[in-house]
Amino acid sequence: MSGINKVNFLLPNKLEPDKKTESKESKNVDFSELLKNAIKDVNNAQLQADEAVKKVLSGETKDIHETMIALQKADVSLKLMLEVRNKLIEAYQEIMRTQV
Amino acid sequence: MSYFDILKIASTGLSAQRIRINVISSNLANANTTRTEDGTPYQKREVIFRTILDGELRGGVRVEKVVRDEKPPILKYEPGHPDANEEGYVAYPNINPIEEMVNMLEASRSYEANVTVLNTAKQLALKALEIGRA
Repeated sequence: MSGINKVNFLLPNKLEPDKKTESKESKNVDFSELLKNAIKDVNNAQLQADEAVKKVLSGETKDIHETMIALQKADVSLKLMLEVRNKLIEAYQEIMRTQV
Repeated sequence: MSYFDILKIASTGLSAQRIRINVISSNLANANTTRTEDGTPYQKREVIFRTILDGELRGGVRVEKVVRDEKPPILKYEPGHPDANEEGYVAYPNINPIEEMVNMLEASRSYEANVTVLNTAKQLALKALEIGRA
């Protein structure tokens, strides 16, 4: 077995064995939980953008660029979420296509 | 340093340049004002910028303060003017409109540059999202 290389080199972070046990605690976070949090963040960005638009329309903020930046943030985070969703659906469909 | 930090920094730049244009517009508007609250001609205002350092990499800019230019006023011989002194000279603000126009151009270009940074950052983020779309 000693002649066989570990598959570690394929892993993006090249985790060391001792580090693995260490990071296991933090990795125990549920994937669905992670996803939920991400979606919550995206939603927050949308709400912030909403608030920024309200502020600029009511004349509370004089900096239009703050509003535009909030909008762009919301836009990009939504696109990221969509991209993640597309990947998930793709993976799901890939699994459904598996021959049993 | 996240992508949103770029937005934050560029936004401080935009705010600072906006204030600068405000001050310049005030200078231009008052280029011929001989009466202010304290009875002297209007003095040219200038903004002082300062970096906001948040760690070694993250830096924005903010307007530290707006100062008065202490250059002497421009004297013009206008004996009929109500604000003329005993010798018939009127003290006009120390503002050169051409100079102000150049400063405004610079400020507006700087604003544009910050907007370009914002757009570039956004484009990069969107390009990064395209990685997954293979």
